[in-house]
Amino acid sequence: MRKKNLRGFTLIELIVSMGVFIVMITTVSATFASGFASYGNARDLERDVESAQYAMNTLAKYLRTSTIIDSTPSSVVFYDYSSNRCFEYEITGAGVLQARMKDIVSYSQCSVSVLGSPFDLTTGYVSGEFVVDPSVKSPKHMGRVTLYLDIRKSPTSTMSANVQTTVSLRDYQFLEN
Amino acid sequence: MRIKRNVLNGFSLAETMLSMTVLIVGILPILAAMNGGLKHSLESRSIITASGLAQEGVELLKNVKDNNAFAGGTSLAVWLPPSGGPTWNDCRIDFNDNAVSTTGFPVSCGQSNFSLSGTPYVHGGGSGKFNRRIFLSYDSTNETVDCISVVYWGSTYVPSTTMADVRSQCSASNACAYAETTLTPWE
Repeated sequence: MRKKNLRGFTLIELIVSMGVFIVMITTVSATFASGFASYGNARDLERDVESAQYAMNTLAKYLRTSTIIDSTPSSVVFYDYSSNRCFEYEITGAGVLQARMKDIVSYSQCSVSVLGSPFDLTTGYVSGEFVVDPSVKSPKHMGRVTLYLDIRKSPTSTMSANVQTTVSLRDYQFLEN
Repeated sequence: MRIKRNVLNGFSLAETMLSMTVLIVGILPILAAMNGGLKHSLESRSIITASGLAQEGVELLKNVKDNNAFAGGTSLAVWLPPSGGPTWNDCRIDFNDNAVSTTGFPVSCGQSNFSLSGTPYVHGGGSGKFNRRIFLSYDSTNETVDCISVVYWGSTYVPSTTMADVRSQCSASNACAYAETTLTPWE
């Protein structure tokens, strides 16, 4: 082995190559980090949207056989003839869709005062509004309820999903009696 | 280590290009995959919103039918007038239209009229992301009305005037979602 042909890298070469290496790794890992963060946010939002959709579908099912008792842009109170229950659904200021209910026997007994304690139906931060067009007995008019929800992970999240549904209140028991 | 070369050599152009190519080929697919996954998640949010709006269209048509049934008449052709019918323009419908039986929407069925915007989503307030269009087909033999509510976004697919076209072309990959129902005279 001839010693004069044994060459390592010079200090300069090492520093330059490490510099290049660091710049590349930093860029690539930053890209990955932001990608994973976006993925995490999207996954959380997906979960929040699923819970909101489930709540919305359940609400729609009840409303389809219900008569509206009372409503505001953030809440609706109704009596479901199908399950003989009085409900209130409310979008709270804290960004949660909540429900309260009570088993009762007739439409006339349904009011906010009889309802049980509220339970949360959604995760994440939910805002939105109810637009209520109640049924009228004379002249006969079948009402409808529209619910619009904006769902995001937190109030400050920029990524959001919107869901909207309208239900026709097929409350013939109310309209024909 | 034994070095055979006795002259000081850097990397050749070919070597450099080869190594850069390998690097790029290695990183690009990973970035592309991540980007694709993110895009897919954004797209799935659009599909959720669109399918909800499509279902809303169908539900509103049922509401129109029920209310017109109260107003009188015995035929579906009166309860849910088909395209070009006397009382109702069948291209679009909104949650906040109360005068369903007589006034309808005084709009033509031009594509520019289908944009949904605002909170809640409604027609006619400028240009929003989603568009919704209603199709009705009255079958006098069976006394039924076939209803399609189609929601599309972007410009990948814009529904033509036939329902068959919607059924065959409208899919999530085309940035489109639709709901279909058949209404009968039964209240």
